Amino acid sequence: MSVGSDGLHLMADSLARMLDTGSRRERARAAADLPAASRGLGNELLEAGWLRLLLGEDSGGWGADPGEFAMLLENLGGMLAPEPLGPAIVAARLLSDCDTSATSALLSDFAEGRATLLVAQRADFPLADAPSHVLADAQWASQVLCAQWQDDHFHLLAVPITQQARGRWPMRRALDGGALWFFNPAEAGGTRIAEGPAAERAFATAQNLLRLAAAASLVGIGQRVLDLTTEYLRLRRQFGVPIGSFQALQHRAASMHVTIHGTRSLVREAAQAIGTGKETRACAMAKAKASTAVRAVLKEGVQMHGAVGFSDELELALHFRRGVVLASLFGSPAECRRDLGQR
Amino acid sequence: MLRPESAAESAFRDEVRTWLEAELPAELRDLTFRPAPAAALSWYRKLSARGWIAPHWPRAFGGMEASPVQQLILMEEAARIGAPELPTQGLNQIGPILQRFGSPEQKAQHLQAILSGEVIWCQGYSEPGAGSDLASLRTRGRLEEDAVVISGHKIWTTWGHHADWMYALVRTDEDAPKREGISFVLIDLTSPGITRRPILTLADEREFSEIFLDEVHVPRANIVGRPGSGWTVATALLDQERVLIGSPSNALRALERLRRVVRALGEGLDADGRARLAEAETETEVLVAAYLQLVEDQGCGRPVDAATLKLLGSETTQFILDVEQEICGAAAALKYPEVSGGEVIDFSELFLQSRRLSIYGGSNEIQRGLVATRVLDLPKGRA
Repeated sequence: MSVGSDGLHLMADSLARMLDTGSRRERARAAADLPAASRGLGNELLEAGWLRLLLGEDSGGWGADPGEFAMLLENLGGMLAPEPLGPAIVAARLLSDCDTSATSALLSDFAEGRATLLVAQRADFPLADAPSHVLADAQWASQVLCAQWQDDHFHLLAVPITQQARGRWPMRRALDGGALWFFNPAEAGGTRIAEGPAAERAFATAQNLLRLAAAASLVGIGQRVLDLTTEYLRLRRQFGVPIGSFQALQHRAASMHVTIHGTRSLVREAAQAIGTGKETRACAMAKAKASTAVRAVLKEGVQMHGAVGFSDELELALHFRRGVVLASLFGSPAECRRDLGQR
Repeated sequence: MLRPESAAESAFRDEVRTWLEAELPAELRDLTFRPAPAAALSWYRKLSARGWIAPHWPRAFGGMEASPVQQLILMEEAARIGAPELPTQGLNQIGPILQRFGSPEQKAQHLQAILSGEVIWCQGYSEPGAGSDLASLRTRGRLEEDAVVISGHKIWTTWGHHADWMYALVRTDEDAPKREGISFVLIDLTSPGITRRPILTLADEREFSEIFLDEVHVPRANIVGRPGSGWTVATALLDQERVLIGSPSNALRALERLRRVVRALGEGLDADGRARLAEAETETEVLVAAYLQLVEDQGCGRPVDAATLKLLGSETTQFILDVEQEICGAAAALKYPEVSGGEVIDFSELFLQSRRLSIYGGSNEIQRGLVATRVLDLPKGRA
């Protein structure tokens, strides 16, 4: 069962209207100024049922497939919506897949606004004393889901997010203004809410879906930056002509297009692999490629804008910082390539 | 391919793999050079007899009309087993042009002969003074009552000295605007007045040639379309050609070569090498994804961005071979392959050969110009 591409566009449109209250820039900047604290996703989003996008219809969900999920996030990627909608949908799917009384209760709390849950990743940080796990966009969440293995037995933990620093950590500001919360699952005082091989598989899929979601969002950001750049190349005049008529810039803009086009194709293909044996490999490839590709596109976009591209005046700067954050988190390219190399 | 295969697709893959294992002769496997057409024709004819030589041709013309995934499976399995590169000018270029523009007589004479591998074709487009600016070509065709009499000089003609027929662009009206005075002609290369001279490539192969035409009489019935419509005929199917040029078959072959080097290195492949390999595999999947989605779009009649695919296809292959150069270390200096662990390991042959990919079929600079003006809507420059 799926929503279908028409349904998807309607969904994306309605979501765009819901999120586009005020200009993109104002919203993104306002969100960046928020203190790191649980603020919830907002009633409008919750009431519309977006969290249940990836849940089956028998679980009260919309039955969207991962391809539709990826396309939706691609559409949203260029809108600078600060809400971590993709990760929230993945957390809801993980809770639903685990299907214990504890996860069902948490899913109800989440859907009704009493709790906001996101899923943590291992922190691939080059600092020796950094805690082992990190949560991106932590200012939105009240609890974080993470894995813990005890004698090779898997447990899913729900860990409350606290502001209290443990030593030098846990809260850090990300480039885009979001909060990164660092923690060690064993010390964080979490509650075990599911266990065993089925929960372990659901958790692995959730990690893959997070990579896919970040990759799709990056494609949306890259496309938006390319659109802004070509618009600028058509309008900006120097030497009496639009600078977009110069072959040196045309060819570089064409390369940006080729990069985005290929990456989008890969992400769509990877989405089809969710639920198959190729899932982990496909999502590692998608995230590695989207990260390096979009980083290249962001740099070119700034360069072609000249000095104003380096300023904080344009929407471009917001995409740049958000893009670098998404490229680095949810599986950095190096981390993804390491995973791909271990076969 | 990252998407899941249907049961029918998996069965097709098994069928292809089993057949290739049984039928591809050992002396044609894992070649580290492009066999001259005569050497590859026996294999061409076997594929033809099996019905797999023209996956992209419509059934009405004797093709397979294969789905995008089936086409990809054929490419992946051919790369896996190390099948030789075949002459494709007939299948990929003149065949589709004749299907669309050929007269009933031209179709009857040539299409079956292309499918069955009786005739090798070459392309007479480029001239010493007409490369990217192809419409400035100067080879002349004098129109007489029953014949076009052609004089001029074609160059960079792949397998020109091995071909039986050449399709060519010639100027039949000197007074018409540049693109309107050109005719598309089919030339029997055994006609009197033709001299062919092979040209050595950078990869040390006599694969190109130049072809001199001196008062060559070609029947008027060999003009495709009407006189003066040659530019339209030649460019109408350019997008389709670019899709074939951009297909992943070269990249898949390159990746297979890279994997052989990696297998030979065994534990000698360091973390950096593993990361580079992962990158090459990822780029290959990018191309496969773009190809599958584009061919699906094409099948639904949607407009396709063929220039982008040509860029992706050629540059992905070149990237994979750059990685091979890095991973090979000093062995990249070797001219001939080595045999290790029962496998033929080639180091630099494809790296040299793949220089062609970004040059032919409209150079990548031309493709970037097309993307900039047609896809991105940037203003035309003073080209």
